[in-house]
Amino acid sequence: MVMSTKFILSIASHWYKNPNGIKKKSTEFIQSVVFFTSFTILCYEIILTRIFAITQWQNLAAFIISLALLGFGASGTAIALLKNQIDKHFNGFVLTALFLYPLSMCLGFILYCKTPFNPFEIGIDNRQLYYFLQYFIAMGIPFFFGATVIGIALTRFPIGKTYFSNLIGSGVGAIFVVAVSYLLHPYSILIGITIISFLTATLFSSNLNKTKFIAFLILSAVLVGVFSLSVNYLHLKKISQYKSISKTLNLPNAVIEKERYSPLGLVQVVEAEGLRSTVGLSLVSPYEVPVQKGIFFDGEAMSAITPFDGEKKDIKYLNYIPSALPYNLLEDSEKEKVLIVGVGGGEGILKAWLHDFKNISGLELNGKVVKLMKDDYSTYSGNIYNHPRVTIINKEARGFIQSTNTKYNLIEISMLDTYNTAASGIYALNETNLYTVESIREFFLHLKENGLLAITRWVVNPPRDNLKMLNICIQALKSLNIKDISKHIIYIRTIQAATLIISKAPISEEMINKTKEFCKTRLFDIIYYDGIKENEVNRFVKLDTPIYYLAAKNLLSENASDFEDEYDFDIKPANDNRPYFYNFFKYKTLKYILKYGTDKIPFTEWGYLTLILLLIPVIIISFVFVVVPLLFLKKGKRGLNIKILLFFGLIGIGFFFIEMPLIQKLILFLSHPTYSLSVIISSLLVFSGIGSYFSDKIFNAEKRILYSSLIIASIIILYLIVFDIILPVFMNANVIIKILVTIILLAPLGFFMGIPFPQGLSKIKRIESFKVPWAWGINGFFSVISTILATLFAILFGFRVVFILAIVCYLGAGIVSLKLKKV
Amino acid sequence: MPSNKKYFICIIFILLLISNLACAQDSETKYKKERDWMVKIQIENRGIKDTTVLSAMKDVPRHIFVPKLYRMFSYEDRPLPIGYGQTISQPYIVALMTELLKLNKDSKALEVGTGSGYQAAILSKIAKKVYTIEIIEELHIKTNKVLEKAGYDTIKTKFGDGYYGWEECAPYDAIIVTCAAEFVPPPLIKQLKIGGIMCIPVGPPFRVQNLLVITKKSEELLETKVITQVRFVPLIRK
Repeated sequence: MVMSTKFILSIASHWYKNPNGIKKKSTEFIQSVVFFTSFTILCYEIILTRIFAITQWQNLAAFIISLALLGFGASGTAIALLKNQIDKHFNGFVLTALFLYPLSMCLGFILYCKTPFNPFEIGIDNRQLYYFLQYFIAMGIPFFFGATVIGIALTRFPIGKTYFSNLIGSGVGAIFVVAVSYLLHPYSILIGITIISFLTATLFSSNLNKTKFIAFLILSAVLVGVFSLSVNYLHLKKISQYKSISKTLNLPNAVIEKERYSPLGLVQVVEAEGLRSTVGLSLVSPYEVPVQKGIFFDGEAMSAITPFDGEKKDIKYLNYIPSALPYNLLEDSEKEKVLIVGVGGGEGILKAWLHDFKNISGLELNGKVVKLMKDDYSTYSGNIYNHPRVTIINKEARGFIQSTNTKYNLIEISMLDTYNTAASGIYALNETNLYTVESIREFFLHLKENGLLAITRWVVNPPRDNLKMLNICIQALKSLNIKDISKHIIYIRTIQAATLIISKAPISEEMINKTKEFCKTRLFDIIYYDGIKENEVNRFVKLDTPIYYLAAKNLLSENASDFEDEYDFDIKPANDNRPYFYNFFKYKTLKYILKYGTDKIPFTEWGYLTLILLLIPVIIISFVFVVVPLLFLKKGKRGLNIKILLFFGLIGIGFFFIEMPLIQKLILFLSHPTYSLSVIISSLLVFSGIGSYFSDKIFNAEKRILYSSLIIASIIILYLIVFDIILPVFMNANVIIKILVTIILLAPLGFFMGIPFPQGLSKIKRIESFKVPWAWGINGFFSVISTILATLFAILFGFRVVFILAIVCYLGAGIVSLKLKKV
Repeated sequence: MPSNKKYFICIIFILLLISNLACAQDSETKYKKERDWMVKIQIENRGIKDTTVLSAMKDVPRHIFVPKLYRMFSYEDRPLPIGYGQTISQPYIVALMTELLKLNKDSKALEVGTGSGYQAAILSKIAKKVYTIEIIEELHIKTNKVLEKAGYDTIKTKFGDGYYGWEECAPYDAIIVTCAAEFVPPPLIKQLKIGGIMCIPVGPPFRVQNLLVITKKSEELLETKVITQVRFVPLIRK
């Protein structure tokens, strides 16, 4: 950021010293303005998703992309409408847009923080729709002004070069923002982005005269200063009161002891009186839970750090929770190697410790948590993270398990999401690569001969995620040709949690007896084991009907698919092609919601119905802001041309139908959504920029777009085939190597994806230049819709179908491009 | 003239006083009507049959437990914020949980999470003694004043961590936990009489929760029943 600032200042001072040596509207000068504007737009877009995740919920982050694209679409329309005035007052328009861009960023952010929007109240409180609109406007306006600068530049200067600066700026921005996320808090980064944006405006003002330049410099400094102070003094850092951390901070003497940030999220450690956490403790536990400390991830997903001094008596309560069952089923001689997925504050490690496992391996994705536990909280937690018996692996679970040859006696996946997230459905539209058929298969294959895989999840009524989990495991065992699957399953539940055990070997009579004893002494209910009788279930925590048992029995029978179809929720197994474990919504669920209302199923769990509902206002808003104003163009300039509409619409949809599933597919490879998002966006943008730069130099001009589209389609087909072969080879590699592999793989695709758009614009610019902003706007309109459609189709049909639709779009655009010359 | 002016001021003052009293009277009448309506529509119609519960719900002025800002919504079918991230529960949930406790005039009840004090006030209309604990000191002090002012003498309040219950006064016929917990604290189970009932909503506030009733059959045997799923959503946030 400092480098960038120095760079801007050096350019500004150079131009200021040589006022007569610059052509006011020179291409090079505008290139730097476009570069920095694009750079900050991408930084702003990504940092907003982080701030959304911290203060609200991650699921709203997808909405930022639509918002950014809507800003781009609307800017194209505004430029089309004001083209004559812009031609006359170029400097004035660009400077105004450049200045309003960071200003609206500051004001919009303040408005965002002050808007009491809560997605959980949609459907209950009608004001939430108004607040949502307020969000939309507050966050969308900066994108409009930023995009206006780029749009004006595209209409006035060589398209290839301008588009190149736009894409390179965006690409560099995507990488830059992730890099600085290791050093700065997201709020500080936001302030940094406004500084760079104001400096870009000031840089442009140097193009005018000395007085204006100094005036803009002072004004920018004052505004940045006021905004920085506002962030601290207007309580803009306040997070939603509905998040777990807010509730914990209400406890007496609650204090945030430590705070760490990285692109993976904000980690906060809270100390408070009365803070205790352990899931599903037996009602008859003779042992008590000590006061603990909580590690929060983006204000949610609390993981407890238990005070420990090496005395087992202090952690004996851990033998009275459902996830202790597998430890009680294994013989002492089998307690050799355990793998705990997502160790967080270390409860799983303590449990393994309590049961004398010789070799305890813990997987933790977030390096900041590992460091906190190894350094800051090592004394408090009994130094367990540094103990010779314990190995902490700072890797993502899927990536690690696919790359290791080690086999374990026990693999435990417990409570990786909080009750808040499990019960509220806020991940309904998020993919997860951990709970898929392929993932469970991998874990199963890494078990020793008598090994156990144990998965503990929250009990949510009516049951859905636990049943889906069981179904995934059944499917995984089927895919491995395991016979008598029911002989490999034990399933128990308590008031709050259910533990599913999958055994590598058929479950013995002795294990069943141990399970019965374990449950009886703790008042836990058995859901299923092979041969269970109906009078053995639903005994301690009584439900109106023994739905868990009945569901398990059905899912293990030949009528499983009928049961799946008849069930009110989508409990079909998630797989790598459709990794939407948290989506339980299906057509039948709508009937359930209509019957019981949002009291039972909150709006946030309406899955893809949310997308359909979101699509309607987005289409209307996009249409009103992007298309309707174009109808007011003078006759003859309306350019309502079906070929332009089709071409720019198709490449708008095609681009995002490639980008979005790529991001989701490569999360598995790159181990985290943030890495995937930034690496894919930046790679595609930078290589598209390079493609755009060289777009005039390759292929025959007439068929340039068609050939590029054919190559894009071929590369995607190739990806569909080779991804599954190449990516596993590098699964265990360092993250830097993985990023490099991704960049190399995406380079050719990005290069050719950078050709159709600027070439299409060039074609129509040669004939009727006023249609350039029109096309820019249309492209924006379809891009907005495509971001939502891509997720919708991925949930409904899987990533492959979205890729195939992208191929169709690009091929269609290639064919239409042949007709563009006749526009 | 000066004396006339004095008379005039006095008359104005008396008129204001009368109108104020009339308004207060009106408000009380209005609240009573709203309360009766609340009991009929929100509670009786949803299946609450226990006459002692219905009578308590009719008697206790819910609005005095609601912050002034939200008082106009006191009898609506929703929980309301009371500050400190806490809420006063939806009237139906208060009635349902009270009914589930099966209290009588000799019962001794413990409430964990005093909050606004409304639930304790309802319990005190049925049970002989009510003990209530609040972990947030400011809320404890504030609610204590409200309960004292309203004359709820059979309610004993305490500031402290509800996890440990109130051992000195144990055992209890009924324990009601009005804040969501990840697990049921073992000391609370120990402080429940054999045959006693515990009612607890499990799950995060403002979301879908499971309402549980735990019956202590013996020291070793407890029976838990999932009654329903409830959702606590405040009408207006802080």
